[in-house]
Amino acid sequence: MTVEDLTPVPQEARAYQGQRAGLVSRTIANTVDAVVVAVIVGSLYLGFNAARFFLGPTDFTLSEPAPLSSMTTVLVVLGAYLSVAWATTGRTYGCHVMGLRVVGRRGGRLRPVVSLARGVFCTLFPIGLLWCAVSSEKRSVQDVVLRTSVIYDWKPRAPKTPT
Amino acid sequence: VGAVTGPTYLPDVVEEQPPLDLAVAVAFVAATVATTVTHRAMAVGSPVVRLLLRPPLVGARLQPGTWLDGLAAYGGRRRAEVEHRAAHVLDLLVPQVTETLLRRVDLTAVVRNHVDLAGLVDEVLAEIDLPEIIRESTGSVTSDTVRGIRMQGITGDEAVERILQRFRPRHPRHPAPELDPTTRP
Repeated sequence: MTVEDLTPVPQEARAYQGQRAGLVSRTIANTVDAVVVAVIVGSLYLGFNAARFFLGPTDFTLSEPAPLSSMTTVLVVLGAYLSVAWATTGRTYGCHVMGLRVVGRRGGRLRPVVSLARGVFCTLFPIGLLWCAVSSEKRSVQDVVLRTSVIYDWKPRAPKTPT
Repeated sequence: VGAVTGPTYLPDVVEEQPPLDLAVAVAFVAATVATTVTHRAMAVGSPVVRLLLRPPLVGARLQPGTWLDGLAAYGGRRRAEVEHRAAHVLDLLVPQVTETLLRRVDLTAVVRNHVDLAGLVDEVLAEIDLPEIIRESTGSVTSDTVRGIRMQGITGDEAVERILQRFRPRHPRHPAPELDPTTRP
């Protein structure tokens, strides 16, 4: 072992670090993220109703959200969650669980604009993820268009330089 | 020891030095002969020496052996006294000499020039498994459960990749580029 081998990554996973992740890992990460967003939206709903209860407890009834506004809220929360996570740490909670990170074309952190575009793209066209199974480069449609990659990265810190 | 630069601690091929080997052989034979002769002379002469030191019909106080015993006792006392004084002198001198030497010698440069520090560190790290310590001590501790989920994800990715590989052309027009390891986050 040399000094270069000093990494918190376990021995069995070191060979995969920096390689592009496949469909299974990314799907599991997205599922975890969906649960996170569901919890956030549910919390917003409960908070909204709690505020209504304190403002008018006598005639309080649970609000029945309209499908359009509910869907809009979910999409906005999902897009914001993904964009902020990728622009700051390069990983959502789902990516953190699965040891993944979204990086730019040079392997660095995404620029905020790219992160926002990717977040919107993934929110409106989630099925684009399936292209990473077809692509020999393991890239989703969003990755191809925005020149990003999702790699295995078990190290805790994100790259500092946006690319 | 293995980290010290220069020749290894195991002897290399010994160069042939006939004159030196001859001198060592002669000295060894001479020492063996001298030892044998001395032992035999002592075996033969010891009764005579004993008779001279303890002659019969002479009082114990007048025997040469008694004088020699007293002389030996005096020598022993003097030896202990000299050892005590020498130890006292060494206690005073050694720290001062060492301090003077360290002032005149750049010990850091000596270590840098003659000790393979990197090799030494590598050996130490190999013994203590530092990555595991880092994993256990930093905030990025990954539990065995999470580690297992991640590795299963990687295994699943590889399995899907192997299946889909059969449906792809053998020589893709645009092979997947390897990310530059130096820019890995």
